[in-house]
Amino acid sequence: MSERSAPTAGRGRTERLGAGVAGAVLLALAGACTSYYEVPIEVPIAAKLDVEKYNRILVAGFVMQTNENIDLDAETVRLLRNQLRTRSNLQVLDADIEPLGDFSEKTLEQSGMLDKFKEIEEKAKSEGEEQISRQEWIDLEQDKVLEDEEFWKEIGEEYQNPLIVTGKLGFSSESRSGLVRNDRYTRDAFNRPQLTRSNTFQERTGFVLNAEFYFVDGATGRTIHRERFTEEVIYGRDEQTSALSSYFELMDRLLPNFLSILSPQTFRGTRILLK
Amino acid sequence: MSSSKSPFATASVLLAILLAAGSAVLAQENEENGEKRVDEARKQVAFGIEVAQLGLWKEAVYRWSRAVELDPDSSRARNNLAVAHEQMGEFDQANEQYERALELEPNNIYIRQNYELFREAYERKKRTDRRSGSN
Repeated sequence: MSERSAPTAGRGRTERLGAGVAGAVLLALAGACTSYYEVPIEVPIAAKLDVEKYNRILVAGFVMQTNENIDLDAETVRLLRNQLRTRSNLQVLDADIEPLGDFSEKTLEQSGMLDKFKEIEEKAKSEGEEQISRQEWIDLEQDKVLEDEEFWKEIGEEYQNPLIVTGKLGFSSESRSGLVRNDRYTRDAFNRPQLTRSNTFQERTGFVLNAEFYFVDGATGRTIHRERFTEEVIYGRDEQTSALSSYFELMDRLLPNFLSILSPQTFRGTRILLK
Repeated sequence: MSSSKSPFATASVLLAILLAAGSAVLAQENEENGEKRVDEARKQVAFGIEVAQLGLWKEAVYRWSRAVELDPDSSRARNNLAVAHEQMGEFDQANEQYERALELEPNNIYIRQNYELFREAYERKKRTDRRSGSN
């Protein structure tokens, strides 16, 4: 590399040529000494949850919270059912379950739930109790639905005790505009690489997907496993990406992890065998 | 000048010569045995590769384990054995063999590359196990 930065030296060319030939000879010798074989491997990774006692699975729906105009619950139920049909050994039940609850700002306002929260907030204030944030209150309300063992037991009885998938979904768009660092490599008059750093303001939008999956035993109504995932994607101002496309992009990233809970996954790669 | 030596001294010299010759023969035999073992280990390594390429990983594990028994200093046998263990999901054994192979040949780029790729999968698996264990 240092030779490249001194092109004026007359002897440099001969030295470079010599070094190149020596390098090639060394590589050829190394290749001749080592016989190697590249082989594909498939590493099995066991499922996290033992689902042997369940033959059937019911994706029952989700409590949701979003500031975007998409039906998170319906889209996720459809997507997970399709994925489980092709990528798990469980029989996927098609059932229409009542929506578990939309905790989006707009819906809470329309249903009068926000007034209920304000009442609780004022009561706590007047009684000198510790105040809770709106999000904490929403989480508690969502937990009431998801941890209602009697409710899940009833659903379980109706569908012959399947494994039930439910949980919380949150999807929101947020501004991610700000200064973004740009690193650029340039070459100076002597052809030496130089790092140029600059900060530029960029208008960007981020989409965040929070999903917490609950796996409920249909026979007892109890949650047997819970797992939370968060994914985010950021787009520049020029990229006109709809909320629905972003949602699918984020779900696409999350799905392998979701499926690895229920069915064994395979990690593919290549390795070198040496003779 | 008389050159007479006692019979005891003569016998001692003869014994020493015999012992030296015997140990030389033994050393040569050991060396030959060692060479034979290394040669046999190489054959096992080569055969293991053939069967691994056919997807017969259990047979490959047997061959490379045999090679390691015959020549414990064979970094190649240990590298291949590690790959086979990895393929079979036996991550702890794979890790052990990769580490031994790298101890024996730290600058082998192929072993290092295999090990780095393996570590990625191994760390992911450990994270997954920890996560599911917490629930």
